[in-house]
Amino acid sequence: MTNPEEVYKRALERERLARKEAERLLEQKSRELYDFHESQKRELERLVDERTRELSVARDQAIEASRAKSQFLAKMSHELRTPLNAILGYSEMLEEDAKDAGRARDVDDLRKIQVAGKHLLSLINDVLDLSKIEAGQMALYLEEVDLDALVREVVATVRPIVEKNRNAFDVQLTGELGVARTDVTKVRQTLFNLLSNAAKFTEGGTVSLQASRDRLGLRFSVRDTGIGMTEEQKAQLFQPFRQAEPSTARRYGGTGLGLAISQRFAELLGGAIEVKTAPGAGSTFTLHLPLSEAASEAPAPQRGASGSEAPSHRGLVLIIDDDEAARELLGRILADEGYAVAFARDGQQGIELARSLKPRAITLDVVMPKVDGWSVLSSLKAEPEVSAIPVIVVSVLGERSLAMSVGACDYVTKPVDRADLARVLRTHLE
Amino acid sequence: MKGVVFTEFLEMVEDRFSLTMVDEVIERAALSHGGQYTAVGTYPPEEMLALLSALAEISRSPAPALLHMFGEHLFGRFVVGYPAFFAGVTDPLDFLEKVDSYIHVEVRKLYPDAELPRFDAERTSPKELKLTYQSPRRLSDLAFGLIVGCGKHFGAPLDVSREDLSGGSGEIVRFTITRP
Repeated sequence: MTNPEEVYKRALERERLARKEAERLLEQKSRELYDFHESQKRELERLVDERTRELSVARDQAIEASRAKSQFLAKMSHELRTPLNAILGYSEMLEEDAKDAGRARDVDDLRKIQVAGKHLLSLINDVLDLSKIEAGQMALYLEEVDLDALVREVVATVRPIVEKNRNAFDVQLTGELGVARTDVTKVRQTLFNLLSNAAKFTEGGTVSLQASRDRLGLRFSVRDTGIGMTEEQKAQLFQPFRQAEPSTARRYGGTGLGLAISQRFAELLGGAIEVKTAPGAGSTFTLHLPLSEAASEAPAPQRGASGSEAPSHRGLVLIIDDDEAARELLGRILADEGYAVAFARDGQQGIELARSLKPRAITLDVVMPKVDGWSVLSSLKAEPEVSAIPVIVVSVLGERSLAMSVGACDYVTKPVDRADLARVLRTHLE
Repeated sequence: MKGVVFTEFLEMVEDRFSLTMVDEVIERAALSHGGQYTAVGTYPPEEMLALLSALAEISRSPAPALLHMFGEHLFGRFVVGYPAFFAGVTDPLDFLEKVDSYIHVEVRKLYPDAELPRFDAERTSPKELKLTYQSPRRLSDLAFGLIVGCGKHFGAPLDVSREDLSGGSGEIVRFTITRP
């Protein structure tokens, strides 16, 4: 029979060889796993790279699309404002004629055209503002602003809106606000938006405005006793095109852009708008604006009140504008104010007439074919003979700071406000 | 054939007979190597048949009975080695029913080259399962032992009858399994 020792020896040898075989297989399997893992890793990295590239392309396309959208909106707003310019200007003029002639029904109808036109204009302005903000093209124009006068002006403008819904208007000014270096247009528009919103959503209640100034800056609180909002509604408040509920737009009107714009204006000025509200308990919107170091506490200088002097011959004004309706409208306003008027229908003619006529002042449109307003302005400022003539830029573009920096003496936005243009001319010519 | 079948077979021989029997079986099977099997390896199925007939000759037992015995032993080893397949299963018929659709699918993930028998399951009633074995290896006796081992593991002695559907070749065999 077999020797047990031999049997054990062979069993041991089998175990040893089996172990080595197992180790070899294990090693081989590990190597395969490692290679597989590496190839998977490479494949994964390749996929990540590919997706990253795709995302980056998609992102660039989205940015480009957004930019194109903003440009389109800006251009459309411009195209829409130009004809509105004529509608508002001429209806205003016709209204005055009708008033003089005692045609009360016409006055009423013409006023309706103006109200509707102004509403349309404010909607277009909102869209333009927002598209500019989103395109990062909203510039700040900082100047010394008489805040008390600003508040008085806004209160006077908004009072009829507040009182229309049988609301009491409570204005509390804590001390003098004084003068601050800020962008008057944006502060005015923000206050107007907050107050008219409060008026819109409150009926038979109270709208109050509290304004104060301390070391931290300016605080304007607009409180109403209106319908208030839930937390969810509050969360969507500053989103463009959102109103608390879809039905809100039908009931209360508006584009839903006002608060979005106001919030962004406040942010541009380094401030913020804070909201406290509850359903049925009214809302309080507080605008905080920081004060720059340069802000002076000195009492505001008195502004010249728009006078009603009798028109007299005050000298020649050259109107440079490619749009016939705009030229005529400006011409009639200036003539009514007692100026003699000359017209140029394009930039080249404008420069020539400026040289030959040497007018007392020039109103200059910016967007014109071939030679645009900016080129006209730089040509005029480069010629000693005409460089001293004050140039007032009249444009639908909100580029006040650019105009001032290239040598304009003032800036008036189209559609032109009659009193505004008259005041500007008086300021520079008298 | 997976190495685990060989290592378990030789362990069973050692348990039921002796280490000397293992030595003799390997000797008589006249393998091309010294009989060193590892569970993680893969070996020609003919070697299993050679080992089996060697054991039958030396122990003077019929090969089918030995294969049946091996099947019962192997099932017990599966329970120890692969507990995951048994988690949550309480019915032996439930377990046998998913050998093809679940367990063999998992086995192929780890061993893509594995040549597994086919088990077509037909649950004719909650207490009856028709399981059709199909393999060119003709090891239905091993399958029989595994089925019986399964019943023992779950504590439910199974009544198993079988029927050759391949004209006596043993390649296709239907088991009708009922539990109490």
